[in-house]
Amino acid sequence: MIPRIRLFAATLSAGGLFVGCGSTASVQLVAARDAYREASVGPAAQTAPAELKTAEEALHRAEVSFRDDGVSGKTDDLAYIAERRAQIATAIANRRNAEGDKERYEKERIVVNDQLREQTVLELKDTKVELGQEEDRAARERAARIDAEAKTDKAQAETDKAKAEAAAEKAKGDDMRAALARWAQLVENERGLVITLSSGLLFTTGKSEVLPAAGAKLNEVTALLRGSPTRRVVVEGHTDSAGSDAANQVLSQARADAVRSYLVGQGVPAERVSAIGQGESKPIASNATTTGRATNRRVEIVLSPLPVPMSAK
Amino acid sequence: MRFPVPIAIYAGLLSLGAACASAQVAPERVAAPRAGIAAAKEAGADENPQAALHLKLANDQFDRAKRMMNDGEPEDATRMLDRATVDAELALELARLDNTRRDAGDAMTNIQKLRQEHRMLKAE
Repeated sequence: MIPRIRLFAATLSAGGLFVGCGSTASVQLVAARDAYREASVGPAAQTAPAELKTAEEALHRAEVSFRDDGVSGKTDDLAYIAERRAQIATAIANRRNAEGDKERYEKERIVVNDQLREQTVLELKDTKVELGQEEDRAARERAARIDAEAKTDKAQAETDKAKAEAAAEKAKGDDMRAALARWAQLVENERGLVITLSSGLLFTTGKSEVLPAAGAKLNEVTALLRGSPTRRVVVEGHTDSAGSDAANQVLSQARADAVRSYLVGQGVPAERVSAIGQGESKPIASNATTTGRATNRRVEIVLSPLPVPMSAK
Repeated sequence: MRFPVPIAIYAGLLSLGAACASAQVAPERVAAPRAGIAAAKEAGADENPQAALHLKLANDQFDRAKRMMNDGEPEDATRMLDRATVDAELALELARLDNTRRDAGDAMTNIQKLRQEHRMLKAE
């Protein structure tokens, strides 16, 4: 039915001869023409020319139908298809452009990845070098510290050793003094160290030869003297007041010399030791009593006073 | 004797511009929209509003074409099938376009992410 009416309408409007001539294009055909125009000035011209051509051909078919048959269902269907074809061409063109973008990004990503990896490798190298340098530095500092500590320890050890030796010497000295003190009197005063031996231990009455038995005791003195090599030694002979001053003077000098000779004979340097007879001039007890006189009959071995000690105690 | 001929066939015969009146629709013309709709769905046309619109048009027109075939209007049916086919094709292309744009966006973001990660690593 409908085609008949269309035919009739077309005939009326056209004056009967040419079907479709002079009729206004349908909305659909206009839409198809617009769609093609849009597509042809868009990306499809560059990126989807084949598909655009297809759209053009579809529009052409619609136009032919319109020219031949005027406004009709068939023309509209062909126009509809033509419209879609134009839209498809544009969509395909846009997709191809997006694919190009995607490819470019993926390539760039690879480049950037390589660059960053290289950078990281370089940074790693730098870090390793830095670390290496730091380690070296730390190792050197450790070594220096160990050296310093070793030096300190060594110095400390030497100080300790010196102290120990000094203490040992002192102990030895103390022992010696203790030994001496069994048969001699030891006094440290302004004269120095005064070792007082009874003449009876060393000599027979009136004589000035050192008794053999006294040798051992004098050896102890020698040992003590050796322990303080810097101290000068004076051997003093003393008598009680019995007998003449002159005789006592001679005896006391002879005895002092004898003791001196013995000491030198034992290895004490001669220049270190001097001997002097004091006779009865310096009593240390009362000559009125037997005990006092015995006390005065003595030999004093005096070690000069020590200078103020240089080393710290 | 007059055979009861459906009016549609008359209409078909009188249809201007029709070269011939085929009583059958070529099978490939029927298969085309079906395949096209499937392809468009596969590409995710449902998820894109524009694509989904044309997918719907394709389906609706395909249904109308089937009714026309049942009503014995092969020529109209054929053109309707063609419309369905082309809508399905547009739906497919719109879906593919959407997918590609998203991939391109991801590719661009990946570069930014790479640089960011590198910066963060350096900062440590």
